[in-house]
Amino acid sequence: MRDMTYYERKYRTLGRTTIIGVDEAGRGPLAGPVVAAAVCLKKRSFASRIDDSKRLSVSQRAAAYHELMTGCFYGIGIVNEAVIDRINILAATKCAMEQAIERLFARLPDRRREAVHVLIDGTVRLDIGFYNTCIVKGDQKDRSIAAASILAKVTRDRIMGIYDSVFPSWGFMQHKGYPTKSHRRAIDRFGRSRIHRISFCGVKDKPLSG
Amino acid sequence: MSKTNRCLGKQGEDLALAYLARQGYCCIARNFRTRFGEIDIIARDGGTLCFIEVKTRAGGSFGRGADSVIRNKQRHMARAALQFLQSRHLLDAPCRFDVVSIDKAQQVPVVDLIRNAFVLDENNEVSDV
Repeated sequence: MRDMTYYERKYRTLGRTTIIGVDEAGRGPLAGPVVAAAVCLKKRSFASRIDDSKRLSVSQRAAAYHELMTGCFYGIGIVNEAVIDRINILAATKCAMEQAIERLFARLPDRRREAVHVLIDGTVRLDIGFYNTCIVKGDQKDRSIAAASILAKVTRDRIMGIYDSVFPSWGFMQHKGYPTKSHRRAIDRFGRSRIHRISFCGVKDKPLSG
Repeated sequence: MSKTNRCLGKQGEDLALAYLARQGYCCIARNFRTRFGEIDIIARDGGTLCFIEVKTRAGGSFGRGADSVIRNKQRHMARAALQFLQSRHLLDAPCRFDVVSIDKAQQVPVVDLIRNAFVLDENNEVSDV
């Protein structure tokens, strides 16, 4: 097993000094926005565990999130369900990623803006001018992408937490909009809310309520 | 600039953003500032990068918002856009300039989108289409 800096070192030897990791959260859910994060780490090591957000517990994620707030440059991109319905989920994900990279880039100091290499989780081809590489399961293979996955996940969970208080019937606090049994049952019973993605199966033909 | 004017501009941009989202545009950046000029919204429409200027007018007495995106402003926008493209290594990417004009004289604001409002020639000088 290669360690979490394999890709980073690989591109550093090519002279790319700024390594940016990009990951998204919320492509699968039936409701809520898709959130992407772009991260450029400042430090070599972190006290909390930086790993794929799916392999960390909620408290581990919170600790990592807290440390990353000061330990990296970051940008968050959010695309809401109305736009997802209009341009489809893949295009929306790309857009959220691009938005995240743009916001990160605006925060980078000048010396870090040269020789950028972007590592992207999955197989998403972005139309950005920087050198970029897609890494399948990148959130488990590279620490920058792992850090991005944590920021995206925590941000999205917070948004869904707020939505839960606005639309309490669907239980967004528990499933965050993902298609769990309890979520599907809630949709059958209450119909769809204003934050459900109409273009997704299982939501399309349900009446609007709330 | 007066506070009311800035507030009007901000409201206009929010309105424009919502309108553009319905048209299938996806916002990438807002208020991109350089020392050459500012771009209100940078968005993606399909594969094309769009630099968008939002013009909001409270009343109709000074003409429509779009009329006030004059040559000089276009030049500033173009310079800022070039700066953006250059720093992001996107000079080869397809892009265009759009103008959203918002008229708030009516009860319901009237939003108007002008695609490809002006173009750059090979000397990076602006001209109307």
